Amino acid sequence: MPIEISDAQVLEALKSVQDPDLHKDIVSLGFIQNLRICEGTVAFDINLTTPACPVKELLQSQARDAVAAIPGVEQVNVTMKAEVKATKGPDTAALKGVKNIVAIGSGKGGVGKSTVAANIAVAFAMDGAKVGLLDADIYGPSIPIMMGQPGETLIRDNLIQPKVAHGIKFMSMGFFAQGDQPLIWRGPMAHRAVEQCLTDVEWGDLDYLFVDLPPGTGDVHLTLVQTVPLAGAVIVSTPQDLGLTISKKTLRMLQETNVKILGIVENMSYYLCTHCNERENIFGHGGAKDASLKMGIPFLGEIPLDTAIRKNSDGGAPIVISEPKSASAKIYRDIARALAAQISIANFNSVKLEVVEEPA
Amino acid sequence: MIAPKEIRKQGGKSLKITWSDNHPSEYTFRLLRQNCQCAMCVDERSGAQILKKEEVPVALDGLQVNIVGNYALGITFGDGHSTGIFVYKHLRKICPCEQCKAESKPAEAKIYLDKEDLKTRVD
Repeated sequence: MPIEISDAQVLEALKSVQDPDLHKDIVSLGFIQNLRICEGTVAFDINLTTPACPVKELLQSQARDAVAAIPGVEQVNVTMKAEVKATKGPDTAALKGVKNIVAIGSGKGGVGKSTVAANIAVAFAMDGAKVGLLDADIYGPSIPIMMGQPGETLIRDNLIQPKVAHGIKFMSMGFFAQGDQPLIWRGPMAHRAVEQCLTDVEWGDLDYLFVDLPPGTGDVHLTLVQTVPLAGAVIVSTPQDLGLTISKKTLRMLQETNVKILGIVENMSYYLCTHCNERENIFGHGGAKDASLKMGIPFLGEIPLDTAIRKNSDGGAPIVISEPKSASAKIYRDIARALAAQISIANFNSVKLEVVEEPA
Repeated sequence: MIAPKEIRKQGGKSLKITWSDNHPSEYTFRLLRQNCQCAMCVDERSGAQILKKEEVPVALDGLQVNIVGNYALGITFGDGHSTGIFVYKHLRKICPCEQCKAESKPAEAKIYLDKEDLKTRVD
């Protein structure tokens, strides 16, 4: 006679498994779905808040072990799933299929913001998320180069069709100008263009839309924070840049407009010599990490100066997908997962705000 | 940063905000209109008041209130004015309740650079 196993027993056992980011057990968080018990076999799904969860494997093995320890259980089948939660903010009719909008900014130009944005976006898609990338850098739109240039922009039903490459949808300010023509726009034009890229592009259903901002704190930033509720922002910095407190300005501007800073990424962190493998800290080291610690902002990771990253970006395929086994690709994947965790935490802690209309 | 927990538009007459620290504020739309910080009402460079507060109609309706990003409200008033962005921090500053009035406040601060506040938050 096999021992009867109850749902309650399984759930009790699973309560011992904690999500390290949300600081709650996976049962209370509502992650457990589809629990099926058939004699000695227990099967269930763990529905995470992001497919790019950094602790996916850990939670899976802990859950399996916890249930396997119940007397009478012979086999445990855990299916990992993910359902990305949306930023709780006012509903904007446009972009209603987009769950989280994440801005990627920097204090000054040339810190590799677009390279970081493209690689993070593709890394999220590789983890199974539906991802969009908007290149809002009117001064130096570089995403088309990094993602490869797939021809003319199409318009259907009055909506601009985003391009698709490497598993993500993307749109660039660069598509508004032909070839090497610059965009010579005053503020109102930049404002309208950003608005249009957000609301007149058929983004469809997206878990994450990354917006690659121009450097600094200008028109585009203001338009973005006023047009959509952002899930948060990521600051890309070189070690030297943050030491010089330039990035802090962008950071403060975002804080002023109540945008959650999801983390800091240190780019061009160090150079690994291709000949002797010696690590050279060209711009100094740890500047961003120190600053993030001081400001209480999560530090998402450091990316080396790597010729392969540059070559792949110039070649139209971000390194995470073109050389997925490389050390730099691995670093990007880890940063993407750390960011995914921060977005989930931010959404978990936020409240939905709306204007309630009452009769007088 | 201070932010509303609940925003209630009570007909066209007043706006009620419950803040994240549970403080309740209630504003007439006239008061809000008088404190509009847009470039037409307050000079951008000098910060000098352009709108003559006493000329705002005594009974002014609020037609529409919408949330701007994560940090402000946009309001369309009965007189057609709609260019102001009411930053939460500013809204809290002009709370007309007795308690807030008593904690005497210095003259209108610049919205985007309140250094004291930044210091405490960043450092």
